[in-house]
Amino acid sequence: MDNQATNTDKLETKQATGKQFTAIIFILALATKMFLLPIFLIQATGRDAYIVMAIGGAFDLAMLGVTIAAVCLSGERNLFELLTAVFGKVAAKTITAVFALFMFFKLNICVAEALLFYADNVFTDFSVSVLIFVLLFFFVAVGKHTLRALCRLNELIIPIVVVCLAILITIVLMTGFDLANIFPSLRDPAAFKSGLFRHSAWSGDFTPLILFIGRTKTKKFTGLFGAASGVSGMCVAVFFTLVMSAAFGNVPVLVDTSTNLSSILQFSIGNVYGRIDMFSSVLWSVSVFIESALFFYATCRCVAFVIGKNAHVAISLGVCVLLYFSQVFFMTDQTIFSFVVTSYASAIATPTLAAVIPLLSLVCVLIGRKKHDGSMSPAQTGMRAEESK
Amino acid sequence: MTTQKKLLIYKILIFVFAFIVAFLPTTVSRSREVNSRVIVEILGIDGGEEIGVTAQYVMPTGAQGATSKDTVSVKGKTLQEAVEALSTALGRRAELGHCSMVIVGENVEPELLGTLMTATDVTADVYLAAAESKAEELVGQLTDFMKKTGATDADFIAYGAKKSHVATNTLLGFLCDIGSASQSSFMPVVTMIENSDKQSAQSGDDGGEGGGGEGSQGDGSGKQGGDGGGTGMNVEKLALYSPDGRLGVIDKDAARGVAWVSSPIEKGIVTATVQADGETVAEVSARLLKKHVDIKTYAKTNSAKIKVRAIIEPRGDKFNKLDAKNSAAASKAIKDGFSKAIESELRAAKESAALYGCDPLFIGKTFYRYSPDYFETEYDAGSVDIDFDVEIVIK
Repeated sequence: MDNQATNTDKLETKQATGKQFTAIIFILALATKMFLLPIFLIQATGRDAYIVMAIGGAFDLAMLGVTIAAVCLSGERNLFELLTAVFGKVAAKTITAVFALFMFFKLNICVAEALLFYADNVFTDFSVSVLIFVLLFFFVAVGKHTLRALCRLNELIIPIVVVCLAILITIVLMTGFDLANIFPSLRDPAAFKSGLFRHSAWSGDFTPLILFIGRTKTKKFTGLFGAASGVSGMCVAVFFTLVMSAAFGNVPVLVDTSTNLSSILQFSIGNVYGRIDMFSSVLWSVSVFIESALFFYATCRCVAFVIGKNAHVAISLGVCVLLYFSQVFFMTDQTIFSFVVTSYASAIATPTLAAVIPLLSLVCVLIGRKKHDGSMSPAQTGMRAEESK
Repeated sequence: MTTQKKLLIYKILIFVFAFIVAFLPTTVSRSREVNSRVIVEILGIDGGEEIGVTAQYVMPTGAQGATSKDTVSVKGKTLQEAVEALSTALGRRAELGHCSMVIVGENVEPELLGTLMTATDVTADVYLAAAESKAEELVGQLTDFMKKTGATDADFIAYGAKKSHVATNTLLGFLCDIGSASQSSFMPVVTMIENSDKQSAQSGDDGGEGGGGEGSQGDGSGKQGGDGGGTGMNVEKLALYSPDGRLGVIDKDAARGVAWVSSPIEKGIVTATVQADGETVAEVSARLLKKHVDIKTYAKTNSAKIKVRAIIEPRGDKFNKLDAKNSAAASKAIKDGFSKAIESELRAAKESAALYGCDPLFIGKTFYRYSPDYFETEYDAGSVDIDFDVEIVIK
């Protein structure tokens, strides 16, 4: 039982590679930040939306740095083992329960965004209560499999995402988009502050990476590549928000959930290239599904640790049922979604936890290392130093 | 369970999933959906007490490659009601997502176009064109013309944007301009030309240059008359707008001036009178290859400077005559001639727009971007001193 409590996945003896870790970071950096968040920010802050995005992105990148440090220093022990070792079993489970709630909340945001987008744009005549089943099937499959399987799936998908991004950026840059329309900045400081505060629920996109602690085969430059991947992904997200801010800065009332990057491209290039906007749709869909899957996976593994059982299919089904009810009865209602996400409670709790989770993980890793080193004899310490060389 | 058995089960599950998706209710009914739609190519909107919507539509028919093109007009208290009435009138769902042009009647307020973009399926990239009076009439005339000539593509404004000197605007572009600090925007006025008009137009009153390899496209007038019908489209003038509605229509020279600064024109013919060695050579033509526009504003002096850099490729016998001299003086004369011609169009745009209190060159927007405090406290559009600097590069 103890063993099960700390190792939530018996099958997961193999670890993610450094490349997979880097690829996952890239997707997490831009997925939901390129989805509906720019639209909400433009509605709230007008042409200053890109500044809010940049500030939020900088916060997330700082927390990514902490998470990468934790992953690189963690050695062989995963997060749950480290929490148990540092805080004891009961406290570890309590902390993990809070983590699980956070992951579930973030999962709900991702899924609600995807459903809103598809309900408004693609399947307008299709009920969300049925549409969500496609996602739930995918999630159960993800929950049943290992982290490595999810990483492999991401590895397969990421070339598509990168190609789509390259095409979109090339089009925007080559067609002489009027980026100067982002000026003047910060003409309404009150709206800017409010927009920044009320959209902080979108922070913490890198938090599922704590699952990579002790499960990643890190090399000398894994941390560096991971950080570069996060920074480049975030730059892309900020760039596209900047483009959208320039396009809709004068008319923020015109943006809604049916507005997307394709509108901007069409605005930029005119009605010339037909349905080139399909690229952006492919990009969004894929990256948001991967991010949602990662939050789902993190929720399930946290629950598994809290209840002390590795019944992954049953836990996945249980989380899916909860997700179904929260989505169908609450989150897909735009008023409720807006209220929940932009409320003071989530605006305070989300960034707090987005900072606490990686920081606590790093503290656990450091304490764990210290304890481990302290418990080793001088001879063992010497051998370990040799191995690390 | 062995790995092979697991793989087999997964394959079966994927097949079952694909089967379910393929036979989902919406998928099954897709063929019926296609047959129950009409594709709207051009949409006309008229304002007034009731909103009038006229659609040029294509009705898919059973015969291979056959479509029937026609128009229908409906009215409603609101735009949404009118669009709904459109589907009712056609007995099928009017598919607006493929609409490539919206023709705007004289009395339409820009706010209505905002509703068009947000409350219907019309996309943000759709090109706008203005009718001199009723959009309903123009859509009808265009449809007759297209049926007569067999034209299937309604994208002639898009063609003008790419290949000739026409100031075009998309729906989102128009709304962005109206929402900017300049509170001004524009769209090209489309009129139909009959036989007699066409002949008089060809007699040279527009100074068009047909030798540029674009047929009778010279000078952006967009004449595409068919042999049998003797009609075509004239896209020369420009309708100016403020948030309250249409301010007026400016003539061809002024419209060209606006296109130089505010429209992403890429091609088109430029015509100039060149004076070289005491000799005046009229109507020397050149094709625009590329342009670069830079607007600088100076809050201290309440002035603005519009710098246009145009890369042109002169061509035709009149240019050859000048070029034959192959001298630096001739080159300078050509540059001066084209520079004056373009500056003249820019000044015409400035003066014509000023008469309507409109700012299609977006000087106010530029002031607001870089001197927002000045703009909000002291800026007066009428008192700004605008200077033009045109640089010509001959390719």
